[in-house]
Amino acid sequence: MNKRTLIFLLASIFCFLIVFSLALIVGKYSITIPDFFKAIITNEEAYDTQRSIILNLRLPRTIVAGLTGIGLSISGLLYQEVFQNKLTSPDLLGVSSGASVGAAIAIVLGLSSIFVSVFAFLLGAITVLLTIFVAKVFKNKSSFTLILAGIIVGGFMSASLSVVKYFADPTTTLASITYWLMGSFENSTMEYVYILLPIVGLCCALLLILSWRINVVALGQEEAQTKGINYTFYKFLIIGIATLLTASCVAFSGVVSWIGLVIPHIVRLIVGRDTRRSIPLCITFGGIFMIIVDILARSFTKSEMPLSAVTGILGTVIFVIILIIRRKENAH
Amino acid sequence: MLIDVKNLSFKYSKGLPTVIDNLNFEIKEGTITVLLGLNGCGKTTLIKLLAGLLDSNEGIIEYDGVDLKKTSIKDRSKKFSYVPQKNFAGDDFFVKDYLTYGFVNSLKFYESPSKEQLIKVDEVSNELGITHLLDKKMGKISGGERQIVTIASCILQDTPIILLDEPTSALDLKNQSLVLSLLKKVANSGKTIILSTHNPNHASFLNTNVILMSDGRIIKQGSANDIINKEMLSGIYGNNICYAEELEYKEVSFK
Amino acid sequence: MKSILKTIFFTSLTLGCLGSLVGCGNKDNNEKVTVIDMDGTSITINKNPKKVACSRSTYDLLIAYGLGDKIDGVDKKVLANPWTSVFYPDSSKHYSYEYENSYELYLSRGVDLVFSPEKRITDDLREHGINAITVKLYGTPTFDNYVHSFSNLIAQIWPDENIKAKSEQWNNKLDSAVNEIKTELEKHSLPREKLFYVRGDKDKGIGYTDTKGCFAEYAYRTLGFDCMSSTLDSYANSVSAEALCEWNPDVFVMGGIYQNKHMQEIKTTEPYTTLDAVKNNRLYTIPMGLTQMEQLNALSPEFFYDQANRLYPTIFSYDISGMIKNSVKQYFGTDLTDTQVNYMLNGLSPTGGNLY
Repeated sequence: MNKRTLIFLLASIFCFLIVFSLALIVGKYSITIPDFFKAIITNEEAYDTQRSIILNLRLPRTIVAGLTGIGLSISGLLYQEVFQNKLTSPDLLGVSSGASVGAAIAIVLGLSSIFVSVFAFLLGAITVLLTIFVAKVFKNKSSFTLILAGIIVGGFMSASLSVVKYFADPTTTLASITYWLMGSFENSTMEYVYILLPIVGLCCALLLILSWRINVVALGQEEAQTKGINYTFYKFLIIGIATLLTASCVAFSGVVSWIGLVIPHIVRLIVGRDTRRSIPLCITFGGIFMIIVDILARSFTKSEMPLSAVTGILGTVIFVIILIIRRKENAH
Repeated sequence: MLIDVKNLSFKYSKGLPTVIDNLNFEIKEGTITVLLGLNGCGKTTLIKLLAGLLDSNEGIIEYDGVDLKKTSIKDRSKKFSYVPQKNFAGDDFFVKDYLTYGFVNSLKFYESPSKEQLIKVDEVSNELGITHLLDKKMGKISGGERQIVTIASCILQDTPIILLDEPTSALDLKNQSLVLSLLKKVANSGKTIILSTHNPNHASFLNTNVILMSDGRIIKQGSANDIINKEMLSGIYGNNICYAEELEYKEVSFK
Repeated sequence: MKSILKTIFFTSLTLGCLGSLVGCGNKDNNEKVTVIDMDGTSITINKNPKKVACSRSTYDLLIAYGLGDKIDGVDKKVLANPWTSVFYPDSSKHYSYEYENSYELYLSRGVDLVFSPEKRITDDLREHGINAITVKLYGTPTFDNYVHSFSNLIAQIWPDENIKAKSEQWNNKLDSAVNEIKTELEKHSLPREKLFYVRGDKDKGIGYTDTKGCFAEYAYRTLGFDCMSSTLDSYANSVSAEALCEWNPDVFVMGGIYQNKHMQEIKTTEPYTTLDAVKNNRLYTIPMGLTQMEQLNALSPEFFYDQANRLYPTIFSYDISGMIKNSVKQYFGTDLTDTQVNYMLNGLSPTGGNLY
């Protein structure tokens, strides 16, 4: 790891800790910094509400937000590397579309929120398997075929979502489906953390181990295979990890757009394309970004803003800035 | 004999025409072999079959007497390295990082290049005169420089055989000269080079073994002197072909 | 001679036709009425419609005024409510409509008036030639001026003396309830406490409430509370747990079919357990009947009396059970048992089970 990367990594870890702490302090319910420390250090009854809000509301949702940011950023990076296309996002193979259908079905059936997550995860994963199956029908192993299959299956899932919405009661479940689709960490509990943390943690650990090798995979089949990599195995392993990350995150937070597209671009602007450098920075930057988004979504209004609204606005602005910077770089 | 190709045939899919039709040839160690022919005669397909990127339908390719179909991807990559005709996937990689990817088959999945390997990158870059390119991105260097960098990566991969698919097709005259001269130098160091080209001048320049191909078949194989003549080439390139002294205009080539 | 007779004949025929046309026109004018719906839109419709499609909030008052036989159908959620068939067994004859239905369905069923919950739906129906009137659950900016709107609308559309009398009687009964309670409260000069209304018709948690403009907000404000709904605009009907803790209500009232679930939830879920209202057990529920009683309905006067009892137990002790029985008998012709009324007051089904 070079000096520049190390500096950015250390700085971003520091920022992550600051932002994480800020997320525990800042919110719709005002807690002063002295009260914050009294609430978490002492057991005084006078600070029961503050303590409860910090430990039962803000802590789990901040962790889930961080993990979601990490998961979606990493999975966006992986898809962009494997498919050699910087405009791909985690939903390329239809994970988010499938997860949306799963969640919608669970909501229409009136199931509890844990089952909404389970359905979302399962259908997200099934959608990716369906995409791979459809790609095999074309009998063409190129990445383009997989992308095309993803578009087809994703389109089918979007249509299916419309059908599910049609059957939803417009006064009850339809609004719930719409809100879920826009993303929220409002229902996050420590149970979510216990499920999401091992998944994201293990995937990140595996990716850090493989980080240098992923660069070779990113060269494409011809070069990777002739250099000695079992390209098909690694491609599907990487897609599998990315899909697992995306499906898990979407299952617990709903559909959150832009982050999987924008964070890898920001990171590459700073450290270039080497996944040894970009993976660790996607972890920190993704976590920071999502926690900031969550703070913005929950702190200023009585009702929480949907996450996609905040990521959409921020993401669009950031992406335009990236394009301007890239254009200036290319001009030089 | 290093490579022995026997009765090799290939078609991309059932119902499609045969692209490689019953090829038989041998390649000796330490030689340069040029696969010469028109576009679409099967040169690239043959290179890919040798590289293991395609599987033949019939016939075998033996390396030191061992059928390559029984060789793993990793082992094959220790025998053959490959320079593709075009690759834009690596545009954003720095040259110094790209060169290290040649070491991947000698590393475990959790490893990245060692200090010794990084020193080797510097040494090879020095030898090939590309040190000034190390901190540039692959997409920002010229076509010729890129080919040289790719060949350097193959040298670092340390395979006995280097396969090159039309290495000079997109290059200007100066870069063609650079690349072909490099290949001569690399062959002199003991490597076996197999390259495909549609330009007889390149075969002539390299003055080495030539396999003349047409429609997936070998028309003739032999030395450059045997193949690069009007009689042999007119059957492939048409009756308009002639030597430079016969031209009514000045043709520029390179020494 | 023949030509004269011909002339007289055709002239008479012409005059006769013209006369009957004028007569028809006059007859049409007598059978139409122009009303203004809750969106402020003026519409001219035929009086005394015979087949009405109801939204959820319009069903029970029509029956209460003796117009049950004019109802063709109602939102399916009303018919799915087990209390509906208890209050009004003839509800089984009513067609089960969706929230939003195609105009072709209404035409095929010969519906001549639709009470619609939303302006969008109303406008769409009118564009396709179906008489539709918007009866919303929300007033603009508050419900204060809309309390009698639907009751008065019924009396205009069915200008029968009997119905007019029933409408006036209901209006007066509601006004009396409100004034009686307000007058009594004024005597006690109590401080104004903060109240949070948990809507509970969907299982969306404690933070799911209703917004400014709803009947509940008007009701609790009238009952002397600062209701958080007064601060919520129409899009924000769900508040975060932090926002709720920041509001820190003195009192929670829970309505809807999930009220008992929410009652358990608020006592066991952080951070709500840390709130004074929960610690002091200032947690109250709202009776359930043919409708949620905190929405405008035939038993709205009883709703006021019931909530006065619960929220001010030291001041009010109305015989709610007796009041409900009398009103249900009067409006729906049904005799409720004590057990059934008790289930109503506890937000349960007619058999004592949960309503969800």
